[in-house]
Amino acid sequence: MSFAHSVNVGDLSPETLDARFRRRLMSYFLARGQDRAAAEDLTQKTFLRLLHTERSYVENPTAFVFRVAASLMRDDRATSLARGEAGAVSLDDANVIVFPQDAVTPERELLGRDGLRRVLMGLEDLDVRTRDIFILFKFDHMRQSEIAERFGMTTAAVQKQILRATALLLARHDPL
Amino acid sequence: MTRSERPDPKAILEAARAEAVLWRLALERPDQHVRGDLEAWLARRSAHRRAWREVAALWALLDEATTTSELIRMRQLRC
Repeated sequence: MSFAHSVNVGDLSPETLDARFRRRLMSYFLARGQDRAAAEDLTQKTFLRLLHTERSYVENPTAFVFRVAASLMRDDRATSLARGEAGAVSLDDANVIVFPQDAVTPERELLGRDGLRRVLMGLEDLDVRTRDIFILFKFDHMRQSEIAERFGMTTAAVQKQILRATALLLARHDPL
Repeated sequence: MTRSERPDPKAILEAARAEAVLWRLALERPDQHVRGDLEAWLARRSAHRRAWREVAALWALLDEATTTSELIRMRQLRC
């Protein structure tokens, strides 16, 4: 199934979702501090949510899938915090150092809206090729190997571009 | 060690940032079990921890940027 055009989310079959998104969703959740079991659980919940979505056409199904995933992870985190469960993020929890994405840390407070604006300006300032590669990787969740194929370059070269973009964006929002 | 031979803190942090991004990329591959190695790397130097926090904060900011009009426009331009 091509995802280059508008797709009715309600028409996506479990097989399509599994083949197309399982690995990428697992990566997404693992990279955000979920352990393997939680990542599996959230992946399943994402599929269930998508399979029960009202029929609606979306222009970018991949982005839609990851929006659903992000929403479920936020809900899951909020539920854990409300229950005061072990493993929920706190400022004293060593996991904050390792996986702070969902915690309201002082760093994130400071970054705020101004940080967002500066990072977006930094993205604008990247050269077109680097920006395109970074957007495909970070926002379209495309694998580095797929990007390499699209641009006719090696996976190592794609990784170098991602590193370069990240370094420039970091310098932009937090100059040394 | 003379002043000129001392490691430059800025260079150390820049190198740590590059490594932090590589760790993040590795972490996103489900076939790789890198969490233990990552924690060891983080424990080694304060520059590693600072770099990791910075990269994580940037990643989180970018996640928030997904629905901004600026980013939507940039993605449309790409198409």
